[in-house]
Amino acid sequence: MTLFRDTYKAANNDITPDSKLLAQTLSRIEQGKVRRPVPIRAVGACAAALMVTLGSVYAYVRYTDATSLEVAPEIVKVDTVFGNETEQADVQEKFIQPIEFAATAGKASEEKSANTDDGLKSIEDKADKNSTMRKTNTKTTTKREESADRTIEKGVGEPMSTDNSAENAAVPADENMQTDTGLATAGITDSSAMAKSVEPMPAGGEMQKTEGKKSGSAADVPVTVNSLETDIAMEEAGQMETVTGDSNVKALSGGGSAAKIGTVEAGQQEQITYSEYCEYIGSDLYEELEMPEDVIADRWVTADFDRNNDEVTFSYFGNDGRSAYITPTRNTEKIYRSIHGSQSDTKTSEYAFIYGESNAVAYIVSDGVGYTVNCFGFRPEEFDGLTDSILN
Amino acid sequence: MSADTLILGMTKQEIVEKYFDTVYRLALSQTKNKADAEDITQDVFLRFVQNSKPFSSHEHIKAWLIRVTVNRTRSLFTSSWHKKTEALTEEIPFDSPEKSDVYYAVLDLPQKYRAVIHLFYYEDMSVAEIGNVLKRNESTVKSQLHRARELLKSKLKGEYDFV
Repeated sequence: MTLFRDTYKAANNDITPDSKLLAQTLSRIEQGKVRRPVPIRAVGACAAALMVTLGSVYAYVRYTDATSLEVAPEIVKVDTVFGNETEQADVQEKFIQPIEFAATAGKASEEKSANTDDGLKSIEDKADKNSTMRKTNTKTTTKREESADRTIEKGVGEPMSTDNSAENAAVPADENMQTDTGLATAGITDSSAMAKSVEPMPAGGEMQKTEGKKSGSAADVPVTVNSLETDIAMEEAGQMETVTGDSNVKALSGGGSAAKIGTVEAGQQEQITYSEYCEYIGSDLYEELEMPEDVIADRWVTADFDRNNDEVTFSYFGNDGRSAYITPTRNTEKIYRSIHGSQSDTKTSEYAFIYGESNAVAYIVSDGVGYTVNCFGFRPEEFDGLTDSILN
Repeated sequence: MSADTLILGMTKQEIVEKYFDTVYRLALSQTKNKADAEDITQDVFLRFVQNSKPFSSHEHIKAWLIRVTVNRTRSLFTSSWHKKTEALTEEIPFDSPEKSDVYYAVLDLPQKYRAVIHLFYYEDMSVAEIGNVLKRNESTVKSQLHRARELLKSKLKGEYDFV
């Protein structure tokens, strides 16, 4: 019987490595190139990792654009971060800065106090008068803890169905408000988010200026808030605008009979009149924009303006909750990114239109100015007319 | 460490030449793929040149090379890249069908048995030495040798004597 060992040895002895392999190995050793050449698969893996990284960055940029300008979040979750009312009040006091106390005509100017704290109190006072169901801040803290995840859907002109304390409250229909969901959405991980607080916005013509992303009007966007002030203000407002993410909400002073209380983040801000703004932006939007007859501008006269972040939103409101928000900016790069990142069939390098069921969004760059246009309840021809007036 | 450094009276280059075939054959028996075997062989000797640990004997060097070869083979098999690729089946030419039968019978064994069989029957290592090199218990090596022989007997239809 043949020995397995002998046969296996003989078979292995027949196997010889390629002579080039030994020479190559010795050559490397002689030259001191002990570093192994990078195998092709390692290079491929590095390339793949690089691609993934670049893809992630691209997706992040695109995602942020998409979420902020095209797609309104279905639900903004409440993220309660304050353990008690004292903490919240401390933080608010720390970051909220009253910046302007417009002394314009109108009864609202007397009702609204001259600083933010007073403004908040005035909200509470008004809330107490309007509904016995409403709670004080202290009570709200408990309620907030009990229902941290509650979400509120608010429609324009409709009473807010927030929590039990706010249900069926009397709602003055002629007031607007501004709501910062930074408190609700950002989880207050960034203390700067606290600078944006709930503001009572009086009658007449005030509007919002946003540094960050505006996701649409209350008519279409479910909104979640986590403070009683917000609840009350939303009830009183009858309509609202939601600003998501790390937005920098700035109040613009109202024209006509309006008074306002504004808060801003610390920054390089200046007071600017509308005419000065027209010079800056190069056009008179109130004159040039073509709106449907029933859609009226909430005009402003002066505004807190930051040239480094020059977005000022022009608000228009019409019947049946129809509204439009036009945000011009000299920062066309951002608008170009939005155009590029948008999923639109109606798109060129200079504009992109996105049509939704009840809203439409346009990103336009015209004459060195970028525009973000959000329309709610507009008919297509009305939306086209508006965008044409911007493009022309 | 320079390639000219003497180890037990030999330069590293001489040691590479001496054990080159040993490492390559072990690598081939483990990987069943010439390209992988060549990769591993080169890598083992480059590591050897880089290695700064002193060796006490030539057996120590051989044991070190065998252990590194087996470990590198394991690393190859466990790498995600290897899992996602299909090894090329290459015919290794032998001058007699008996050699071919025996060699491919061994290659058909599970990897853990292949190493044991190769070291026992080709490198003439004892069970204790194999256990030491592969970091396995002697009893484990014995049982693996036994099972491997049983498998080979059934494959080779009892034509060989496994002494």
